[in-house]
Amino acid sequence: MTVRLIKLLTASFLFFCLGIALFPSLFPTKVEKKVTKVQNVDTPIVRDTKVDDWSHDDEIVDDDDSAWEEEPEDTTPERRIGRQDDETFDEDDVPLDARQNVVPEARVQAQFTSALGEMRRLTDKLEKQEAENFTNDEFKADDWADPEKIYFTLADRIISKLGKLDDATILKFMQEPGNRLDLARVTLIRKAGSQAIRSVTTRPKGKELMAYLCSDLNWMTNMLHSGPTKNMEQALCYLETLYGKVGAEELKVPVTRRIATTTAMEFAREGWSENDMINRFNYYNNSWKEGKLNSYFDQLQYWETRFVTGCKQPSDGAGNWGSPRNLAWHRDNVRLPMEQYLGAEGQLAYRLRNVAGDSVFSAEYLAPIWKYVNFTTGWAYREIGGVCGALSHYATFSALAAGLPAATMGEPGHCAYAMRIGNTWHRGNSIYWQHSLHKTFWGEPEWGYLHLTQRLYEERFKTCAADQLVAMADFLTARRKMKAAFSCYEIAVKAQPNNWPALKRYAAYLKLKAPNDLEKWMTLHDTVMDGMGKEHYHAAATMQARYVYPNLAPLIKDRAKLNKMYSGLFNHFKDWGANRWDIAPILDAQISTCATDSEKKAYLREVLRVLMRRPDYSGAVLTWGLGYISRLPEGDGKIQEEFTNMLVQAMSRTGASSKQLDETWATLGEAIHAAAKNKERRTFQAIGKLAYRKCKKKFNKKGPRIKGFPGRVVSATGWIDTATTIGDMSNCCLHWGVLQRYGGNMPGKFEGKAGLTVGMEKKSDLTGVVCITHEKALKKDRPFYLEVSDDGQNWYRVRPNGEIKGGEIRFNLKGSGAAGKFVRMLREGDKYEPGIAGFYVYGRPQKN
Amino acid sequence: MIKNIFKMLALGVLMAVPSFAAVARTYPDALAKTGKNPIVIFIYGANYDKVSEKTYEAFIKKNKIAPYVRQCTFLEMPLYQMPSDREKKDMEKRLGNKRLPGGIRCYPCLAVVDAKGNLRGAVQTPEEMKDPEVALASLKTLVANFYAQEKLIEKARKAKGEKKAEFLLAASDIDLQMPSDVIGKEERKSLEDASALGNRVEFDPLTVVEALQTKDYSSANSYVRNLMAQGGYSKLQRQMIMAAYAGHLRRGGEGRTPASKERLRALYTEMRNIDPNSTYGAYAEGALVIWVEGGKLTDDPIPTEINRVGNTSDDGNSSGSSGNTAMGSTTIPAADDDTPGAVDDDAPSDADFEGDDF
Repeated sequence: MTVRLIKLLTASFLFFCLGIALFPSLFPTKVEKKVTKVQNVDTPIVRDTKVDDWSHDDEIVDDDDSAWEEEPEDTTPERRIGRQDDETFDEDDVPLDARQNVVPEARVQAQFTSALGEMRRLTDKLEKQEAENFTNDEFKADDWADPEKIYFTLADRIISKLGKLDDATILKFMQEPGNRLDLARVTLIRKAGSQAIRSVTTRPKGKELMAYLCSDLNWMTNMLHSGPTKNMEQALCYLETLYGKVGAEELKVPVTRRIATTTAMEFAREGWSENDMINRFNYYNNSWKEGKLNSYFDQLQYWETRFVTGCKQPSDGAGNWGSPRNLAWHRDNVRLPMEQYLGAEGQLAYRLRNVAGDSVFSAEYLAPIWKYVNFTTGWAYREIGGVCGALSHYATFSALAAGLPAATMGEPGHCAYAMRIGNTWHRGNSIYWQHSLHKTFWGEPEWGYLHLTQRLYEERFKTCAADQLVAMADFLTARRKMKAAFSCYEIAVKAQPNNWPALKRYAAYLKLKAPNDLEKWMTLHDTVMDGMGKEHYHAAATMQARYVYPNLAPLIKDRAKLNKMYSGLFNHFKDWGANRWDIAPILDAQISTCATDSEKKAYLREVLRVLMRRPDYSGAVLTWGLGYISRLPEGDGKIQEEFTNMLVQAMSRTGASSKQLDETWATLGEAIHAAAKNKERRTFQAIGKLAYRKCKKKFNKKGPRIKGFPGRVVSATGWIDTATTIGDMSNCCLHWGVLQRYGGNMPGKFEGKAGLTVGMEKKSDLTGVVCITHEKALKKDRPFYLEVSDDGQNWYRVRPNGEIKGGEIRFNLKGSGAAGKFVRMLREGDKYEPGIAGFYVYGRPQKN
Repeated sequence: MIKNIFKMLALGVLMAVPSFAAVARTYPDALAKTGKNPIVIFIYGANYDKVSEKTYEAFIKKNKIAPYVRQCTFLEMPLYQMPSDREKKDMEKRLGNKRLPGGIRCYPCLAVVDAKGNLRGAVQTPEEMKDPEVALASLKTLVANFYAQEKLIEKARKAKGEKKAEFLLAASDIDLQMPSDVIGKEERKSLEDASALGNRVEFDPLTVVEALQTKDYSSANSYVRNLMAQGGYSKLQRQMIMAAYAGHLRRGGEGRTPASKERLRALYTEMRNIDPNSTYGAYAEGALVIWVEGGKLTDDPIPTEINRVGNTSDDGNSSGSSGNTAMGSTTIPAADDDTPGAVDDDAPSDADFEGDDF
């Protein structure tokens, strides 16, 4: 009986516990449902997360506009529209049309004529119709609670209107603004995903926003076709927040709408917080309303506004350049005509240390001043000074704060910036050709892509027409109309060949649907060369290397033809284009399609044949070749030797006439720089000697007078490298001269642990080192050190420190027992040093 | 009698009306006619800036500035952004073959330029340029300083030796940029010959930092006290010397133990008291909070005098400027811990600082 009672009690208790556990999910309360998360978002937006204490069950919940609505139930899985990203091609569950399930044959240029004519007409129409601004409020706020229904209604309507799905019908369809709005709505649902749209509609103003946004063709077009649309679902949530704050009336003001949309898009893309997004919007919107921005801001398009409203470091706080308070300070205190922002860094003193001796890289540098400058970054640096990073940010954020496009960018060991004056981008505080922009649309940070972005969106309506055709192609793909989808992609990239994302998307589709279609890949290759390749060399070469060659090369059986195609890429380009760029990844991609050593040799022969005739590229191809050899697996060293010989032969064929002298000098300079960086002693010496033979005039006739140390100059047959970033490599052969008796020239800079490094032929017992600078009397405030190593990795310091005599530094190592294969000279501190004229290591090579 | 009353009244009216400034139409014209008087140039954005438009309306159209600049030559100078051909012609006409002086950070502004085209000062902060009355007050100070400085430069030109140096230093004490060509070979020699007076011209704060770097505390102290005793340095320069010295002691390194908080307190207080209103006065104040009291500089509402020159709220409304005169000597409260730091036992002994006047 007792046992039974215990069992009964236990069972009752378990039921009670289960009841408690399940109660909230079976009978959810209003408060718990106020927690809303956006699906498919990395950083979900969570609002009003209260813990329900059940104390208000009997209260009447006020269901006014500001309350969160109940999450609608999920639609059945097969009806959901998944979020489409740039890499995937989802298909709806629709019957397959056999006539459309074919890859159309590759078309020649003549076959595009009619379609391209239609595209031109579409471009003209877009321009005319923009002024009229088409609106259609067919879908009311409540309709957006069921985005799938809207999607399928529109999809059916579009397909039925497209009729037989040939080029003419599709392009005629596109000319009607109502049809374009339908396509834009479908595109938006696909980009965000229907579940996310549903989540947006559960927000207080979500349905209203969706109805408002999706009734306005211009707004939709600007949102969808003015740059990347990453995290669209988050962008819609942000836009809903702003819509809730300013209301429909204010969002009718074109500039406010532009600021709101671009801020929401950029903050969603970057994954920045909602609070910062609101502050950024307020900053630009209020500044504009108060007439505090540069009037040029009024004419910006959506894409270029994104550079402004999407500027980095948005949070408030000391050190952040994009905080509202810092932007406001720049806006009010550095108010200049556009042209003068380029160079505004001159308002700051260049300082590595402040007057208290704290390094600019330390936290102490600005610490005591923050309160004084009201935690305003630009102001702090203007008071104390800074180095390249602070200077470049100062100029950049002065322009951005005024509403003008600009971006900071990295260079090796340096920070510079890009600034747009009118429609042209200029470099500011720049010292080197390698730029890595801190603001990009496609994740490609090099200068050429900025130039490409500018050109692409300058042709606004043409690009918009092409973008809309890509959206149509994506839609047709989803509706399993492969033949028509192919046509749309092909016409889109032909009509606007600078459209990097469209080309990428088409290449991805081709890889998916027709990976072995040689003709189609060749057509794409030619489209890139004839279009983007006319002006944007870097982007065109990268498009081929990344997306075309890996698919096209295996289909070409004739290696000679393939090699011709590879070298032809560079033959196609007149010069470097907008800016010098790194050809190594292109050459790497090309050689990676060679399977055997003999194929590699044939390839190398061909590219050297073509590129060594091109003064622009010759130094770069040699640099790449030397780097490639150094990366090859060791093996028996035969292939390395053969490659090296090919490179040296190619170098010796460079002209030495007075006309070609400078070109040869520059080519060899770049190559010897690469050899030093790769620690290739033999190549360094070979190039040095070659340069001396061919360009003797460039070297000193007489060297410095040196009082040496016992033994011989063991460094003369080695290599020498400097830690300094060298912008212009054309004089690098003089680095070799630094090791020779007639001397040379190389920049001396000893930042912290950096300095001059010499690699010798053999390990040697050292007796002394002499360094000759171009200075008559070196300052003696900081000592020079010498370090020695056997392997170039592990270093030990030798005593005594350098003795400074005029412009000469001498290390007397007699009796010190110092021995090694590598020697480097260092100096504490962070100041530029005078150039080096000679560097001589004395000693006796060890026998083994 | 009535005649006399009328005469008096007329005289009174005449005295009440400010004397008018000479107005030039072009920059070369202004440079040519200004003589010993300064040129006041109202430089503004003519085709890109609504703030300039408003300022132009308030300052120029309502004639608020020019009549009160007395002997100065007044010039309006529009700046054009991406100028059209017509605007380019207008600029060429106004500038002739001259260029506006560099060094202006913000437009619209009132620049004070001498007859040789040297920029001597500018009213350019947003809070000054917001209101013609405030701008005028600042401008009058600049103009008064201009005359005072010119007078001293003129005296220096006529004087010789130590006297010359004294005049030059007095001129450089005035809160106005000295023309770059004032200190020529002869002037430099006078300054160098006059005991320690050349220090100000030659001063480079980083040289002090570098000189201190390898010194132990005792010799660092002697070095700094010797510099301070030499004289010739401006207040700002003396603060910079103190900043370098205190930084050297604060960091320690190379076998040196960082100085005690009490010692740092003394040094930073001394540095602040040289001129509490300067940037480095504020620096010292901040240093006292974070390195002596161990506190933090918080983003609390800042004192009124700082608000005046650059407060910016989170929503981006700024009254900001570069203000060199902001922070007073009021103590900034430490956020976390307001108690004075404990004495550091490892700190160098007082013997290391013999002669230091703590």
